[in-house]
Amino acid sequence: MSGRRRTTEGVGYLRHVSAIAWKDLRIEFRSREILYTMTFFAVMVVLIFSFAFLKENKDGNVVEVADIAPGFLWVAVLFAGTLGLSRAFDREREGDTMRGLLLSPIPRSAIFLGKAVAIATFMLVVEAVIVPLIWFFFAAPMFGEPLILVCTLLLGTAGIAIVGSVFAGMLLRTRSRDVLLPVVLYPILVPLLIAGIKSIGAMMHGAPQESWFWINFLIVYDALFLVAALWTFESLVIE
Amino acid sequence: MRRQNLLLAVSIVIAALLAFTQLGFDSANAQSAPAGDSEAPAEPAADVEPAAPAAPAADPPTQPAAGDSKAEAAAVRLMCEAALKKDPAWRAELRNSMRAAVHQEDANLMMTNKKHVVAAYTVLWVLTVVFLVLMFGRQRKLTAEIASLRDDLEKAIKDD
Amino acid sequence: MRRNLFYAAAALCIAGFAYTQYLIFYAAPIDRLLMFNQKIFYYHVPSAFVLFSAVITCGISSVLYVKGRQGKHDDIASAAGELAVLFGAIMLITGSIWGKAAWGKWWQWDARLTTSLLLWMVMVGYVLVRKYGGPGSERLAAGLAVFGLADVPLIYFSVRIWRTLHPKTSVVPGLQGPMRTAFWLSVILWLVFFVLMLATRVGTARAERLLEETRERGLDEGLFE
Repeated sequence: MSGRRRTTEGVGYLRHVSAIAWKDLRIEFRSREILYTMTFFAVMVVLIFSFAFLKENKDGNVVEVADIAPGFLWVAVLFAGTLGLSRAFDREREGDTMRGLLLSPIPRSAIFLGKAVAIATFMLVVEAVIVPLIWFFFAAPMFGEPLILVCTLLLGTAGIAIVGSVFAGMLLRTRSRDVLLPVVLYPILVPLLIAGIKSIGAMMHGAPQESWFWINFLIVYDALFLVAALWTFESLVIE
Repeated sequence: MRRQNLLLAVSIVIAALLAFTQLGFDSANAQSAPAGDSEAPAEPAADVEPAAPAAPAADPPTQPAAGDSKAEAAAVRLMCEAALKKDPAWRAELRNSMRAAVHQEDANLMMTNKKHVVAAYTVLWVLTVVFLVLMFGRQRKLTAEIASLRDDLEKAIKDD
Repeated sequence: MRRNLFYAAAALCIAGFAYTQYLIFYAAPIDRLLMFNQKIFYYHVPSAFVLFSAVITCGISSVLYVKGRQGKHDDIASAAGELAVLFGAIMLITGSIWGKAAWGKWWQWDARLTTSLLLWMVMVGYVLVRKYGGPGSERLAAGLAVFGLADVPLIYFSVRIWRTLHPKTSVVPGLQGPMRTAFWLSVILWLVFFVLMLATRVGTARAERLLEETRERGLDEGLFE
């Protein structure tokens, strides 16, 4: 680790980011605690939603789901993601490793990006479980346009990971952090959720042009908040 | 301190400009139509007429059952209008007798939803007063804090 | 000088309030369609103006605070945040009452209402963070405000396009005569009122901060136990 310049551009930076991400992923794969709990929680959310919002009509068929299945998906992802975020950063606090990370020559923004990548990976694993589940339980046409599905999920997850990591990092040493994370995170994420839900919904309804519009929107959202996150993380996370 | 004021002034100006142009707070079309009717904005307060007494009472054209009575009614109407024009006293009398009723009708119509206006105004004041009360509480806490700081200071000076 | 400015603004506010009351209820004609209910419009829309002013003030001073860490920017940000919650609540509730009277529904999920509601929620989150975040919550709240500010145009566009995929062209207000005067005077009045409340609240915030700093200094110097 010695001799590595504190740089924010070039391959060195990416190497920092992947080092942090890889560290988190390796730790997680050993115990798989976050993965299992996140996934289980997401599955339970989907099931509870199905009890709450689906109804059977006279012939015993479930009501048209193309309108509400995208909502199930994103809400489950959001809740599971929030859980994972607070747990992942809790770990840093428990081991008091954050200080060590901040003292190292790695630029702060790389720390943040690395953790965001790790969280995003966890969330993608959860989505890999949830999407087939929704397809299976509700016969929702999730795989009509795989490219759209993949793009939307990737971009949406990236957005949640980026914004969530910034706030979770800032909340690290704050009182009431468990309750405050959703309080600060969810209003900021609403445009992302709208875009994600509309994109998948449009795909299910066979209107891919609309989906691509929302995917573009997600790109703008991610870019904007990536910049904001990099800037604030440098200044605001000092512990 | 200068910069604080400048900051305030600039942000207020920017906000006002933004709100006026971009954010579409069209004062006339303050709220768009219910979801679904995207292109039917609520009627702006465009053509307004002062709260003046109603125009001279004119009987609304009756919808006759048969075609004949329609012609009849039209004839009667012409007769009445001619008579009214000839006799301004009668016209004034007619107007006066109807005036109160029409006024009342119009006033009732205009005052529809008076309750809502009062309620909205009340909400405004209640929220503002609540905020002021909270600020007052904060002020009191501040005073107490100053007193305790002063005490600590005096104690420290005495100890020295 | 600043004190005189404050008093002058307060006097202006009082005069303005009296005059706009007159204008709203006596000079401005009754709206033909909405009747008396339309009067709510004279303080509902100005409170929306003030909400946006407060949010932008909070956002800009939060940005400055993140960059420079100067206490005075934090004071302005916290004051503006609280006022945003207050005026946002006024706007939402009066708007809802108006909607009930005009269209029989308390709430609609159209672009403007949803946008305002979300913005208000961000500011409520801001105030909650400041209140319950414990030490160091100013930085977190400032970060939230920065993100919220960046989010505002996105919320607006996403919700607007969500509701109608074809963007609307906004119509320039067609107010005439006394209605127009009453309206714009109300807007100015409310903005001045906002500045007054902001100045007052900033004063309190600043006093609190200075007090805390003084106590810290005392502790540092070893004066207190």
